[in-house]
Amino acid sequence: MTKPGAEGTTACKVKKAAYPALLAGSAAFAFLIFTISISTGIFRVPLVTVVKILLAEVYPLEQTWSNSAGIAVIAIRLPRTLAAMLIGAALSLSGASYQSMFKNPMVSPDILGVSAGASVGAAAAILVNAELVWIETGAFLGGLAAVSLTMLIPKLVRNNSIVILVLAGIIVGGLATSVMSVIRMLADPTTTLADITYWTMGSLARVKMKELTVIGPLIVTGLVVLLLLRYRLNVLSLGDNEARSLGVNVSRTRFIVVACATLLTASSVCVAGVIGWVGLVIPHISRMIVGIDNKKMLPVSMFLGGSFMMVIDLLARTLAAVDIPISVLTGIIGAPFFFLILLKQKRRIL
Amino acid sequence: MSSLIRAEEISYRYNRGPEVFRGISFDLDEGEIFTILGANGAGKSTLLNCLAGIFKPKSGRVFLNAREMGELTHREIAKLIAFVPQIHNPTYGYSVREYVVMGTTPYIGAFASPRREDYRTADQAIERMNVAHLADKAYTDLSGGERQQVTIARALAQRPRLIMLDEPTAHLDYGNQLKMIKLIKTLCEEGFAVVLTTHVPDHPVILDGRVGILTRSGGLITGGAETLLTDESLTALYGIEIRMKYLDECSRRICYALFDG
Repeated sequence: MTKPGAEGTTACKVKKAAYPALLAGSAAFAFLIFTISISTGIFRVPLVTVVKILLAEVYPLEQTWSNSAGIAVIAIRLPRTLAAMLIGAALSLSGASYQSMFKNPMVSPDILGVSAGASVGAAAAILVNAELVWIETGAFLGGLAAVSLTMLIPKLVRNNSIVILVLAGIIVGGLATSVMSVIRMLADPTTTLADITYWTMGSLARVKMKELTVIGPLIVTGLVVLLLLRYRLNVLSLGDNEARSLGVNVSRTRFIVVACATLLTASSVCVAGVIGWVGLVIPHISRMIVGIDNKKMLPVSMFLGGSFMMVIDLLARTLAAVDIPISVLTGIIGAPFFFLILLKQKRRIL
Repeated sequence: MSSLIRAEEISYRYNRGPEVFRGISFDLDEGEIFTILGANGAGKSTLLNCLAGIFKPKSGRVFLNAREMGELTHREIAKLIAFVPQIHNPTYGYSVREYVVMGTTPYIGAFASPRREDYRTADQAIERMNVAHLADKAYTDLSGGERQQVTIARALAQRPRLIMLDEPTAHLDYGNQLKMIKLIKTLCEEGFAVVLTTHVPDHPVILDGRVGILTRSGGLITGGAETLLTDESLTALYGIEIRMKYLDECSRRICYALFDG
């Protein structure tokens, strides 16, 4: 009876009592990775000292650490690790929301072309030397245009299958990539071109607290709204007519979900360029752990995504003498992982 | 007193296609059954969707409790009408309990999740439909008949006054079909108004309510089961010779076809 292409994941893998523990566990895990990441680097700061330095920011503590440790933690590693955590959470929650809303476990911000669209918008803003606020606005509008186009294509060809939506994303993503090349050609080789190139490779090395104070609140807003809507996403994933007959204002809810998921994608593109795989793989892993219920899956996805990204960033800055681009690592880890998921569910997908 | 639901001269068409039906009027009150018969593709499901407020009629008006449907929110409509679709293949296999609790959505705020009392409502509906043994199973792992029962449980959890069922017997074996019809009759006796579509003329006879025949020209002929379901009307509807005959053993009329190949 399962529909072709349906994931058909079984309902509840976790006993009721286990979920709060799992959620607390994943939050604690994220916090642990957070402190480990800040403590690790060429200049090692012990874990306890990291916690003390962080606490001192909000609570007056006697300074028992060197000034250089304080600078390494607060000025360099804190913004970078915070950015990694926020971006991982943002991409995972945005992917999980798209997957529910489109009733399609095979989509993510990068597959739908949203990331590519957002990067076109952001690059266009960089091209004209715009302020950060305008880069964010450009990324958001570019992402919104891309996702609208991707949603339109299945309607035009009157085919609602999982494959068509993925193909639509490939079309839109391909288009955006070409526009991106045009922007590169137009960029001034001495100034903006370098900026655009550096930024598209996806790195957190240049993240500053100032940038985070603008984009952080946007990401937190998107995360909170999607988390609040997590039960609505369950209802929405039944299909438009079903959701409508259950009293949901489908077009309004869908608009809010798309806007928030796109805001999250655009914000992370703004900070670190296009980062693939996270938005696809993390929701799948979360479903394997807590089941498909978005009430549980979304919060766990957020913490796992944040942790995953912090680990990736830690690897990016410690594996080699130079910073490895983030998207290189997410690809190397994410792609084989997704293959394993496909292998595990081979009977159920397509 | 105005009726629970009243349709006035409604018509519908898909995009630029021809009219599916036109000029359809009828009304229904609590405790009443309305059965819609019609050939394949006649537009029974479309009509049901229009009456349930899921599709918007292209002309004409539908009133719920004397208020025009277009002025009501989806939430307000969902508190009055529960819809049991014909076949539903969700992508994600929520547990039956999680699926049934979605019936309480019209009573839950947009940013909230079901509370304990909503799960209690769901559990009662699951008990009522005798599917407690399925509560932890994934909806996608159920058989057609089980899905139907679970979806009706969801409709009950919605606490509506009108239940609409689109071909509730379509995926059921013969025994389950008749159990379904019996259940519908009980629901009606409990005070729900019921609108359903079916392909079996015996069903409206057993249900003994009002009947609407959706004709090939897109009109709806309404009347009581006794007067409307005749040899002539059913023969015209299905395009084969059909007879209605009273059978003493079951104390009702039965429908059969004169079929000689």
